[in-house]
Amino acid sequence: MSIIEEISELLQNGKAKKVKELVRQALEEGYDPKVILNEGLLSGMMIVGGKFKNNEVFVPEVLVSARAMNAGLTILEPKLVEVSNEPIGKAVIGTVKGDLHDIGKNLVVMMLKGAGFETYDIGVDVEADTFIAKAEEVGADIICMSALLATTMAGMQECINKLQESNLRDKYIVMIGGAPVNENFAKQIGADYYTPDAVTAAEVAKSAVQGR
Amino acid sequence: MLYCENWDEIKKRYLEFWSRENHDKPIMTITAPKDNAEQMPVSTHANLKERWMDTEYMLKKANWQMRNTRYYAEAFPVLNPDLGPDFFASCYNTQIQFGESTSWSVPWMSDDDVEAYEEFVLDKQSEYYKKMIEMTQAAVEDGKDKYIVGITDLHPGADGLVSMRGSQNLCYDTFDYPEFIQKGVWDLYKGFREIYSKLYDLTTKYQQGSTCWMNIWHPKRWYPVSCDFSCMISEKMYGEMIVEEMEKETEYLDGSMYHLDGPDALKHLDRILKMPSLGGVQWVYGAGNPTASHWISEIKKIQAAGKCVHIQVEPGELEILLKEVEPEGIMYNINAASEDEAKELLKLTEKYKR
Repeated sequence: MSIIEEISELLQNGKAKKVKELVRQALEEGYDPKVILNEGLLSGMMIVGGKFKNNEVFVPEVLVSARAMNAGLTILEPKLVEVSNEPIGKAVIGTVKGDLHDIGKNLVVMMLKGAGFETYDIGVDVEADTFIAKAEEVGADIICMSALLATTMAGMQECINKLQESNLRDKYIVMIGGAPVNENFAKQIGADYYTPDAVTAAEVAKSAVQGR
Repeated sequence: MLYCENWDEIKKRYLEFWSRENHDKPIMTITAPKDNAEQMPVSTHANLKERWMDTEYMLKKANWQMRNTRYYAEAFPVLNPDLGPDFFASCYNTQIQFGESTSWSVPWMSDDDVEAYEEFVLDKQSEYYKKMIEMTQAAVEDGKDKYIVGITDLHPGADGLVSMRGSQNLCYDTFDYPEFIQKGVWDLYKGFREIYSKLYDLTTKYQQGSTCWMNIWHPKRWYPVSCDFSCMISEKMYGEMIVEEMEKETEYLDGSMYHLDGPDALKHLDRILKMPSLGGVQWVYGAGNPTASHWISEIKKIQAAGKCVHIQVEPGELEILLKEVEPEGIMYNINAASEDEAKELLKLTEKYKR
């Protein structure tokens, strides 16, 4: 097994310390940082994502794998900057106003990172204006909004309305997710995409930015 | 009872429900706003915490609600003192952050706290515990001959740990500190028994039996068992870390309903139905998901396991359920939009009476 395959496998098993060590070792051995990223870390994370989608693994397994990926990235990122590795897109993501749930949103952040996005996690209880201001500030491609409560999902509509009022609606891909929302709700409020889980969110985000 | 004319009859129906002997029709809790309802009392509180913790306001609002609600079939008036879903954890050093219609815990346990953890000790001096006792006592006195007083929303077990640790950290703990979860849920079980027992003693000062937010009455000690955290974990992990303590809760109680919340928790249903002391399952399909009539096979599966079922039903789909599901041990909760709609639902139920 090559060191790159080993990184991928250790990541899938959530072994953060070992992933970090092997990423460092791979760099020392002269592996291209992009190869370590794409074939080691991101490939491992995509395998975990696929298993999650098929109900072969669950949230804790995804979280420990994502933690291992992030551990590897801390070593790799300075090297990636040197070789100017461009993200496939930029996504601003948060949980809407009045809602403090964060685990679904955090999973989407991890999967987006795993898909090669630069992510801007603006946290929970986020005002509609804050989504827009952050997207404008960082030059985002996508705004992702999450809600777990039926009482807070109206915050998604508010953000889309404000984008329209500011003539910014066409500038961003708007994606929504969370337990109380569905495809119909997405259509009703004028969001571009609803996705039922974090893996699908990353897949849809990737194809949406590539299709622009 | 002032807000309920046929309470003795209703109680008999609940006895039939728990023993799944309601052969004629399902148990139905239908409520509707009265025609020409009064305006809700206005809150003049400086902040949300003040409003949530105002016992007088709780009584005023509950009485307003009961005066302006019509109760049909087996529905009955209840006041459930409420500080939100994290009240239980608040008795273990957890602060509550109050929102408009729900409240949140402020998780406080760091990794160091988990590593240093020895035992959770119930803090009866917590401002929230003392407030809950005060609210329950006040409701008991106010509700005498007027309404039933429920036992507040309690979430021990893994959900209690989530309140203290945060859900993401508790997910990590399933790998990093599994022994913390395995011991923690048992510590909280002791607290659950103590708090439940205290509240049961208070609420039975003038009334027989118990109820809670699920609005089911039982002649003795009943309560829901729940673990929302379970929707995130595998069946294996659920079996290893969670289920044993929950079974113990069902053994401690005289009646229990498993609050099964959302499609992601359904994977555990087979294991849940094997709990010998469990009385029934409340299936919560959740906002945004297909409604009750789309879950008939799950309802029948629970029923076939010899357990009761509680489910929220939209008025428009009651007829499908009345046609398709046998009534024994079934309870439908319906919020009608008006008195006329509620009466139509009652007529429909009579049409399918056996």
